[in-house]
Amino acid sequence: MEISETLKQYEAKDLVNGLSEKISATARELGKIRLMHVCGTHEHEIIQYGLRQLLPDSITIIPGPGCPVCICPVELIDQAVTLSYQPGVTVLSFGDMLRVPATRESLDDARKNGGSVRMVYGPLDAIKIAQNNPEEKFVFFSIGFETTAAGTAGMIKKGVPENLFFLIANRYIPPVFNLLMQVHNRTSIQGFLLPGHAVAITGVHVYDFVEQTYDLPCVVAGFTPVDILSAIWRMLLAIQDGSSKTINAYSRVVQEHGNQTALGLMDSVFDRVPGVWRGIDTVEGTAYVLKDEFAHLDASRQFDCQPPYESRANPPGCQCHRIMLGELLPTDCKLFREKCRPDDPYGPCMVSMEGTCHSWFKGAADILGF
Amino acid sequence: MCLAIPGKIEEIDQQAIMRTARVNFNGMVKEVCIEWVPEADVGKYVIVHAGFAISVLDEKEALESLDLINEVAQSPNAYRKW
Repeated sequence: MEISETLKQYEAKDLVNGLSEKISATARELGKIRLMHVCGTHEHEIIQYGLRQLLPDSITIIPGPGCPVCICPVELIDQAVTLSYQPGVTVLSFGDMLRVPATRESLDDARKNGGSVRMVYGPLDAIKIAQNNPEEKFVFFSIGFETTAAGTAGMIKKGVPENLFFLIANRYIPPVFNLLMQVHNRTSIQGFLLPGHAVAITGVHVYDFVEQTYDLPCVVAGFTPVDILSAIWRMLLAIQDGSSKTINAYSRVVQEHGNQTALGLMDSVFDRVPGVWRGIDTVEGTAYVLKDEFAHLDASRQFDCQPPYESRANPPGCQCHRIMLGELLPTDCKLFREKCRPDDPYGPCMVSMEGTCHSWFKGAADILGF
Repeated sequence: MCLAIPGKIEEIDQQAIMRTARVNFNGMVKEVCIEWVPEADVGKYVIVHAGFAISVLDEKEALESLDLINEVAQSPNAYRKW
């Protein structure tokens, strides 16, 4: 079979239905099972393909803190907004980041109010823009998990134009499981689905502590319907066996030891320090920061970016932080679909396609036609 | 977003400051940095995130995993293989 045909099969309906039946058969022997994923794309695909409807009632898939723009600390968005008003400075970031509400303004609001903000598709765009406009200064607002941190690190290591600076808000996922397990326990969660592409960078062993410390299984999951369902089924088999080993169910992409080239670059560019996850808490070892030797590129050290006001993570009534912790669902929030909608987001989880509230809004809109 | 579909490398630009390639995603061709996947080559498939290839698809694993899923998902008797 041609490889392109093989790849198409990962979306095949008969396999999806077959796996759904296997999951139901296995689930009957297990009682109630609650699994959490920590990936905005997983939630998007689960909604898009109606995968929850293919699972028996006894299995609950809980969305966790897996949306990069949602967990981006408001303090740093406020700093990016402040930078955008400095003469001669333009802030560059991903499109969904621009619309995330912050304390007073989103980056998009700042752009409308006279700040200088431009959307980019990735760090490579930032380099091109900086090269083409040597008389101006640019700040790339680098957000995202291991996957995007790798790109930023590599770019910095390779050398960037003198007029390009970085405001780093990247976060490292593994330690957030310690935070999740302060809120949950082995009764409220029986296993974690791991975000395939973040693990493609780190390798699987950085998650071994979840077995050692919490005795819970983790399964690395890809992003097609067949990937997600086969990961869930393998999780159920592990639970049935009483095994908490980390399983790689995305072996066509994820190597056991990750991407060593990318990891080496990240280690040479970044340190990891305690980092804020918006509205939730500070988590040890999760914030990437530039090493001192790259201080000349660090916007937070090269510019005065402190806003003239105090940052506030959660607007009144917003439940995003509790939704990201898996304590509440979007439908538990009084603002969902009322005051908070994708065209006028009130909380951060309603902005990006990776936000849980955004996915649920779109999914419900498809079904209910509102 | 994490893009589920890998893209096929059509051409590698050796002259660029960073090793880049033209990558075809089901008909849509994008310029992608392949600097961090040294094993990338023309004809291979890569997983791309925000303009950077992060992993080269292991075609053997793709086929073997699919065979296994096919077997367990479609045969009532193959209850578990993993």
